[in-house]
Amino acid sequence: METHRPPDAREHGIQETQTPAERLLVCIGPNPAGSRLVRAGKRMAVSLKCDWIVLFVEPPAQRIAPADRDMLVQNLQLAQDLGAQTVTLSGRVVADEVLAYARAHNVTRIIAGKPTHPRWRDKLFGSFLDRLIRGSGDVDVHVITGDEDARRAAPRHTAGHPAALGEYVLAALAVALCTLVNFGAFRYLSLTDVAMVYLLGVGLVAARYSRGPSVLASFLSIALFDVFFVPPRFTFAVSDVRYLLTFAVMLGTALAISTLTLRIREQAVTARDRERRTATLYAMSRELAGARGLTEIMRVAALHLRDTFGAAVQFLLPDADGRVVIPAGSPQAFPLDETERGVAEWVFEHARPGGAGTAHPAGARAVYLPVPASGGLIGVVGLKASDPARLQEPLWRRQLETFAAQAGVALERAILAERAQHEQVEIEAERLRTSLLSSLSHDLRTPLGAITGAASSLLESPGSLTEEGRRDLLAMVLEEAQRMNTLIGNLLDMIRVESGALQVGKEWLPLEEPVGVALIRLGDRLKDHPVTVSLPPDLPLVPVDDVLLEQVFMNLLENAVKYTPPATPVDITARAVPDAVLVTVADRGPGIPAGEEGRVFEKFYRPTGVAATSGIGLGLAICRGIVTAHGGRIWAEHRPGGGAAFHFTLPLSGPPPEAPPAEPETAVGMQ
Amino acid sequence: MTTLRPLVLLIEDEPQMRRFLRTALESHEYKLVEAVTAREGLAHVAGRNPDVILLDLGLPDMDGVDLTRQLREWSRTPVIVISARGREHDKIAALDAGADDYLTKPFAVGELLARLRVALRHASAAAPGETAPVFTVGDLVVDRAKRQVTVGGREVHLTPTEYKLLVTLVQYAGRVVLQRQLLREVWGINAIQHTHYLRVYMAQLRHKIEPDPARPRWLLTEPGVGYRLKDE
Repeated sequence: METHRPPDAREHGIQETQTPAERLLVCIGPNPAGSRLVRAGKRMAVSLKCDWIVLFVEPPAQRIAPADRDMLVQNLQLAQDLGAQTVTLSGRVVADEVLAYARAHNVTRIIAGKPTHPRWRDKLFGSFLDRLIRGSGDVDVHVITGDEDARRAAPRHTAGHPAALGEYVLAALAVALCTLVNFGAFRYLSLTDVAMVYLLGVGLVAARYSRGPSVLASFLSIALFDVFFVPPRFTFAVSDVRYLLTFAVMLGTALAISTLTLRIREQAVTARDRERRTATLYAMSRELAGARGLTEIMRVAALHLRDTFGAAVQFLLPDADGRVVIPAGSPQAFPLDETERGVAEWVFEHARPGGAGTAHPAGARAVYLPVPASGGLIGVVGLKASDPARLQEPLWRRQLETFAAQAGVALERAILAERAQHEQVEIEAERLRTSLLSSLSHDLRTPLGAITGAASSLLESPGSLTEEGRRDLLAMVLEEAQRMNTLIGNLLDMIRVESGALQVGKEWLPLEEPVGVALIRLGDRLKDHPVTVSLPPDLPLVPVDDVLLEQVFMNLLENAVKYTPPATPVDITARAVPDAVLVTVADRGPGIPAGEEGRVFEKFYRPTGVAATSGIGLGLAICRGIVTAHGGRIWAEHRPGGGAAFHFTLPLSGPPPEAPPAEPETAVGMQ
Repeated sequence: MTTLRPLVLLIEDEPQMRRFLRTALESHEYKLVEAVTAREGLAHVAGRNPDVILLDLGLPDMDGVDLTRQLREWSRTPVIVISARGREHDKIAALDAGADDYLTKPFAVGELLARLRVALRHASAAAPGETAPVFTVGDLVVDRAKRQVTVGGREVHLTPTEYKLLVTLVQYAGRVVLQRQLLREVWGINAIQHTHYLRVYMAQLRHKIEPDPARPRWLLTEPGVGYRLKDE
C-alpha cells in the first residue's frame, strides 16, 4: 500500500479504481514540508480531475511555535489558492482523526509526508504513518518525502504545558511527606507497604501536575525509599538485587500513572474547549434567530464575535455599487482607512481571508473574513484583535469561520426579508400612484367638466336661459369649484401627513372651539343633517393643534354627510378617559361594511357596494395621520342601534396648564 | 372716505385673480388700480393714495410681509392680505407687520366686500375705540357707556375679564384680532404665552352671549390666527 512514488497519477490512479468520484486528502503538519505536500496534492488532483482536501489535525494541549504556526497558515492559504478545500480538525490521535474524516467524506487517496523525526520516537510513542496505513483499509495512502527544509524545521512538540517551578517543589514536598509518614510508621510497615505509600504519593502528583513533576516524584521516591528504608538503611547501597526490580516497578508504575492522567486531562481540555465553542456558537445562533432586522443582527453577531475572539468587530456589506461599506445605521467598531477598506474589498472580491496575519493584501491592522451565505458572499467581517496572531491559529480560525457562516445565514435572512418588504412597499407605492392618478384625473376633471359646461352655456346662450336656470348653473359652478378646492386641500394635507411635514403646534384648548370652527366652515353642506354637539361642561382642555383638529372634525363630518341619507342625524360627543379625551362622531347611516372597519382609514379607500360619491378617499386617512401625530388613536365601529361611529383619543400629555387668575363671578352689568 | 367711490390698490401678480377682482370690485362701486409687483405697488401707494390695499403675499419681487412692514413705516392705509389656506404663519406674520385683515383664497365676493367695508370704516374713525359707545350686531348689544351687555334685550352678566375681552373685540369689530394682541390687551404683556386663558374665557363668553356656543354666530374663531367679532 505504501507508495513512495512521486504523485504522478497517470500510471497510478485511474486504472486501479474506476469510481469516477476520486477524492484526495492531503495531511499536512506545521512544517515546511507542508507546501511540498500541498503542491503534490494539487498535481495529483489535476491529473485525477478530482476534488482535493488539505487537512490539518491539531493535537490538543500542544503549543505550536509561532514560526511553525505561520508556516501552517501559509500552507493552508497556499492550498486554498490552489483550489483545495482546507479543513482543520482537532484530535489527540492524528491518524485516527485523518481516517475518520477520510471515511466520512469518501476520500479515496491520502497523501502524507515522510517522517523526519528519529525512528525511536515512533517506537516509543507510536508512528502516525504506521497507524494511518494500518487503518486505511481500501483508501490508498501516498507517502511523500519532505525536502531539506523539512528536516531543518521539524515541529517541536512538548508534551503538556511546561510545568511551573512550584509544581516541582510541591511534587518534592509530597514525596517528603510520604517519607515522613513512612518514617513514623516504619515500625508497623513492611517494605512493600512503604513502596505503596510512595506510589500513592506519585499517583497524586501525577494526577495533579504535568509529566515533569511526576517523573521527579518517581525518581525522588525511589531514591528516598532506597536511602531511608531499603537495607542497608541510610545509604544508596542495596543489599538485595531484587530491590532493583522493586525500583523498576515503582518507576514504571509512576510513569504509567502520570501518562494516563495526563492523557485524561488532555482529553478533558479538548472536550471542554469543544463544549465551550459549541456553547458560544449555540448562544450566538439562538440570539441571531431572535434578532430582527439587519442592524440588530449585526449588533448581536458582533457582540458574540467580540466576546469570543476578543476583537473589535465590524461587518461590511456591499452597497449599490458592490463596494463593501459600513452599513447605514451601524456604529463603527474601529476606524477604517483606505488600506483597511482596500483589504476588505479584496477579501470580498476574492472570497478569501485577508488582512493582518495573512499572506494577502498586506498593511491592514485587522483581519477580514468573507461572510458566506447561500447565494455567495454576503459581506465581509473585520476583526481587530489586540493579539491578531491568535486569530490565525487554525482552531480559532476554524471557529471564526463557523461564526462568520452563522452570521452570514442570519444576515442573508434579514436582507431577504428587507428586500421583500421593500418590494412590498414598492408595489404599494405603485398601487397608490395608480390610484392617485386615476383619482386626480377623475375627481378633478368631473367638477371641472361641470364648471366648463355651466360656464359655457351661461356665456353662449344668455338669451335662452330662464333666470332660474341661470342661477342654477351659477350655483353649480360655485359648488363644483368648492368641491375641487376641498379635494386639492385634502391632497395637500395627505402629502403633508405622508411626508412627515405635519407640524403639530399643540395648545391647550376647549374641544368646543375646533368643533365650532368645523361646523361653521362646513355651513351649508350640513343643511340636510342635524348635528348635535354634546360636550360635558367639565371636559378638560386638550393639548392639540387647533387647525389640524378642526380638519379632523371637518373630514369626519363630511364623511358622515357623504355616506348617510339626508335628514339622518350626526352626533358629536366626548368624554374624559384616563389620560385622554375620547371623541366620537357617530351617524345613523348604513354603517361600515363588516370587516372593513380598519380599512376605511386607508388611503383611497372607498366602501364596496356603495355608489361612487365625490371625494378621493383621503379624508379618513388624513384624520388618522393627524390623530396619530397627536399621539392618539382613531378607529371605527358599528354604532349600536345602526350607523357608523368614529372614535378617536386625544392624549392629555404634559402638565395641564395653570388656571387663569381668579376673579369675582360677576361685576359687569350689576350696577 | 376721500371720494364717493373708494380707491382700491390691488397688488397681485396672477392675471386671473386680477381679472376676477377687477370685475368684482368695479361692479360694486370701487375704483381699482392694479400693480403686478411690490415695487410698482409701493409706487402707487405713494402716487395714488388709495383708500385700501389688497395685497397678495406671494409676489415675485418681494415678500408681502416685508412690503407691509415697509409700508407701515410711512402709511396707515388699511392692508388686507390675500393668501392661500394652510399658511397661518404667513397670515400672523403679515398681521404682525401691520396688515389689518386677511382673506383666504379662494374667497367669495361677499366676503371680500365685507372686509373692505370693515377696513374703510376703521380707517375713517380717528382712532380705534373712539367709535360710537353702543355696538350692535344682531341680538347682541354692547353699551360701553353703561358697561352693559344684552342679548335679545336680556342683560348678560360678565366678569371683568370677560367684559374686557368682549370690549377689545368690539374695538376691532369685523377685523381679525391676533391671539397675542388679545392676551396683551386683556391680561397684560406677561400673559402672552398663556393662550389657554384666552380660549377658556372665549368659551365662557360664548356660553353667555351665543345662543348655540358650539356654532358661534358672532364670536368667530380664525383657526391658528385669532378671533373676530362679526359686525354685520
